[in-house]
Amino acid sequence: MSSMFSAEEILETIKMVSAENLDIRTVTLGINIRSCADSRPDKTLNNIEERIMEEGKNLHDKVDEVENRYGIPIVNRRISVSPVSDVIAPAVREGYKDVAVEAAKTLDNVAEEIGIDFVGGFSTRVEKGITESDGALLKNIPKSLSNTERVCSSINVATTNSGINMNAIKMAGEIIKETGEKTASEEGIGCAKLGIFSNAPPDNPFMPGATHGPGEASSSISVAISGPGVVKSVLEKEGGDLGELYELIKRTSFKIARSGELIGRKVANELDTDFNIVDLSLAPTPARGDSIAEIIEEMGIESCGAPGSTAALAILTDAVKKGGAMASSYVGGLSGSFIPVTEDSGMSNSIKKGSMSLEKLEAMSSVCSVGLDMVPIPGDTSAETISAIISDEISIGVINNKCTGVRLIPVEDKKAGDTVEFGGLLGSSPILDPSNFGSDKFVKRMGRIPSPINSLKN
Amino acid sequence: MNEERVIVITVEGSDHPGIVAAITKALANENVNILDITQTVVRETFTMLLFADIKNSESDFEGIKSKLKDVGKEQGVRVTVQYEEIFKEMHRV
Repeated sequence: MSSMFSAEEILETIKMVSAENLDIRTVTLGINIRSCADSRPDKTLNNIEERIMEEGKNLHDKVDEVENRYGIPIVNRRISVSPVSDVIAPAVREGYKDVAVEAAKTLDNVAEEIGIDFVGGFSTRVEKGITESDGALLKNIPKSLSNTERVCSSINVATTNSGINMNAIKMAGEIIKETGEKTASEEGIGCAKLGIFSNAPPDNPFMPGATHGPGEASSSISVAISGPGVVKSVLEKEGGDLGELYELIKRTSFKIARSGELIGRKVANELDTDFNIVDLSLAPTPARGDSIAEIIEEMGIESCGAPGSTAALAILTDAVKKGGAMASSYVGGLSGSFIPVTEDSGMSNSIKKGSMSLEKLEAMSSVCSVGLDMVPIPGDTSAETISAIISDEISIGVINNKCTGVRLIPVEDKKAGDTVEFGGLLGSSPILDPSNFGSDKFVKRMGRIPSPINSLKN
Repeated sequence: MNEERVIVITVEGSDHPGIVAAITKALANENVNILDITQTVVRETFTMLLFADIKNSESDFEGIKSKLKDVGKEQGVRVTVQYEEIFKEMHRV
């Protein structure tokens, strides 16, 4: 039985962990909390607390146990809940317009109590229209994110099937602006906990977009794998043409995804809940070598953002998906490559060097997952310009039938080229330069942009 | 509840007499049965892979792992203990 594995195979796995930053980025427990809704705010909040405690109180310890048994580090333990706008609806209808702020505090407190760093689902879907309870949540996002540490928020403003809600995008620009101002003393960090999405998947385990969406089970475990460092070190060792690089990435992705599915199933088993999905996304960290930009450079691009970068990212993302899809039948969430700015030290270096720009990031986001992620912009950027940037990125998702997201951080008193330091896993970067030309009139037109035609594809 | 019983012990560090003896003695004390051992020394770096069955041990996985980690500290070598299943998942279709 034991001769099944060669020394090479065993040592490869151990090296992936010890030298190449292989880890499970997050184990996220999704919990349906829709049954917590009550017309009395206090009752709603108590229900939310009880429900999360019931499902999640052992999450932290059980994840620790599984981590210890298999020797794969699990960086974060997180919880996602049903979109809070649904849960507060009965109380909002009774006139409790600010119940959302209290709900955010409740989520923050429960998260702290059970020892998890982020809880996602302070969220709503408004791709067609904004209900009274959606409005009550949206209006209170800046206050809620500046009053809490662990709560993450997301707004789905468009889908391919429904089109784009420009009214919601206009509001999103204002919400980001206000959240940045309310957390200005911490460089606008509140905006790091807010994502604006098109085609948001219901089973995303990554923050800030994690929610336990419609159609999901009562509770379930999703796993997000990582490993840009592993892919990079494989490419460093081996040469070959682009087809051969593709093959190497595919094989590596297979191994990483298999470890993710094993961990997810074991945790689900320990918590007596369902295993949901593996999210295949390659998610970088500021750690040296754990970078998507450095993988692109390893493929032969002098500095990320230079011509060829979009092609290199397309190769990487597709190879990761093919390897991962062979490894696990239950692939979901975002499953692509992330190209965050501050969280990827290679990406932030490429901005310093001048090879990367906001426009190139937008172009690259058309071939990977998510989009303009952790992008610091000058604090005096207008709400309309923020909305216009969102509308560009969201259009890429809607037209191409994929999820895209926007996480912009207006940093007060900083202009393009200045550096912002968030510290820890959030990293640092020079501030990017949005256009000096305005888009106010376009954004203020508002309205619903119709869903795109799904044939005549060229 | 946990039906897995084969663990993989990996020991890496600078070579000196007594590493194998210390690890295997600890396993014997825990009534852990060794299924296979491979050991190499390349440029004075000692590497040992050891497959063992823990089904007859009175200790559980966590207990055995922590004993072996202690031995690793005494010997000045890095000891990794994992269930075999992780390797099965990653290296076999």
